[in-house]
Amino acid sequence: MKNVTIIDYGNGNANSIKIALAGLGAASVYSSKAIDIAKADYIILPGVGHHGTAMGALHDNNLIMALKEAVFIQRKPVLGICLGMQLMTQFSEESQLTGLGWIQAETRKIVPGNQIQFKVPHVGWNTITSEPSSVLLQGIPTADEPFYFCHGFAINAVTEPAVTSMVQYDKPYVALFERGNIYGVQFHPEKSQECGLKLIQNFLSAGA
Amino acid sequence: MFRPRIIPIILIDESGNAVKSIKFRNKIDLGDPVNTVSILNSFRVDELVLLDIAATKLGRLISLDLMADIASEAKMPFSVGGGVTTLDDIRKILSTGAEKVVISTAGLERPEFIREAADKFGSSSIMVCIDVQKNLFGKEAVRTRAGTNKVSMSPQEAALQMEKMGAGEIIIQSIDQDGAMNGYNLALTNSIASTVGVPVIALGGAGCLDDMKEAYAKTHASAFASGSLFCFQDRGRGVLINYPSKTLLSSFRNIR
Repeated sequence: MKNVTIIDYGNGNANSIKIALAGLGAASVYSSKAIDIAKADYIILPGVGHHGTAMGALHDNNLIMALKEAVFIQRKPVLGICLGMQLMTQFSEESQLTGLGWIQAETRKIVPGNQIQFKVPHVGWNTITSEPSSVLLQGIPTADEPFYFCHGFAINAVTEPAVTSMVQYDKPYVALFERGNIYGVQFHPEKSQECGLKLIQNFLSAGA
Repeated sequence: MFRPRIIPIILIDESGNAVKSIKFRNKIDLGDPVNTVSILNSFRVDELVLLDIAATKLGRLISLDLMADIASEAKMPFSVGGGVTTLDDIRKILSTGAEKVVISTAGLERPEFIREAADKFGSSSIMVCIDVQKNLFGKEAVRTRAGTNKVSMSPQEAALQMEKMGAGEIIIQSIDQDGAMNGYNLALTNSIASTVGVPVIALGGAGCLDDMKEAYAKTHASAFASGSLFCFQDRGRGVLINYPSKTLLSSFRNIR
């Protein structure tokens, strides 16, 4: 049985991720304790809340070092979903704060030229570009199967070598990145029907 | 490619049954809502909205047990509304696994509540539903309390205010078109969708998928919701829970 720890930033909810994991036969805990990061085989940074509140909670619970050890020394696979992905970047315009800085990228507000045509947040089902070398997208026909997005902030580009897939809204944004054991998705796989579950399953198959 | 969301709306009445109304009256019983949701689930719907239309009147919150049942099956986003008046109500609904709460009466009568809710739970979790009805002279006014109370604001003013307070999405519902199955109020929908920068969901009047396509072509709305279209076989209103196929949905991609 694979043990997944979903990081609790306080005030969030991760019930939909827990349900998805249970359906895939993985045990999960929703926790803000360093001990649960140490026990985990896999770590998920979920996608609910505000960047500043989430970084504050990680800091207050002394999770930043615990996460760093799990991700960079023990090399546990970690998946950031939506806000969780944005936390992995160096900076977010939402809070004007530095993030975990695990990946060379910045999180910026989506500001379309035409705000009547392109509403913010970007909410809905959108397809992403195919990336054959992606671990998470193995076996998923990305051209036909959209994922569910809901975000007002986004990553324009990853500025270091990484596997990336893009989503087109008013312009292209990073929909997915992978670098070693670090995985990020801007969309919500736990709310993206069968293909979303397949993606989570692929994550759980990633070598620890 | 981006395509608009096509959203079934399930209404729940005093008895806890799923119903479908016409002009907020003449309710047709659809039976157990868990059953309805379970069928819609199997059709892989884009998103689901559940509204308890008796909650405000009865001073209750939508049944959380029902929400938990639905969350355990839903592989798609779902939003829940009905009787939401406190931050704790929102917390309870989101903790069942719902993505968003729908607030109507409490937000329109006390706009500060939307700001508090958005600050605590994030704008993307907060949807505001604005119900609109024409008066005898054809002037559109905002209604609250399931259509029984008139608010002294135009729909456009209300939408702008709700956006400013932090609503992440706005449902614009035409009470006059509710259950009519002959098309959305396009002028109303577009006046709101051209006013605010957050996504607008059209509700009230869809009778076939072409009504949604027309609204997508002619307005700036981001999503199209309906009760009747997904509950009834056709305008004869024989109950048949249904949802368009993936291929039909793909045809929305080339409209705008």
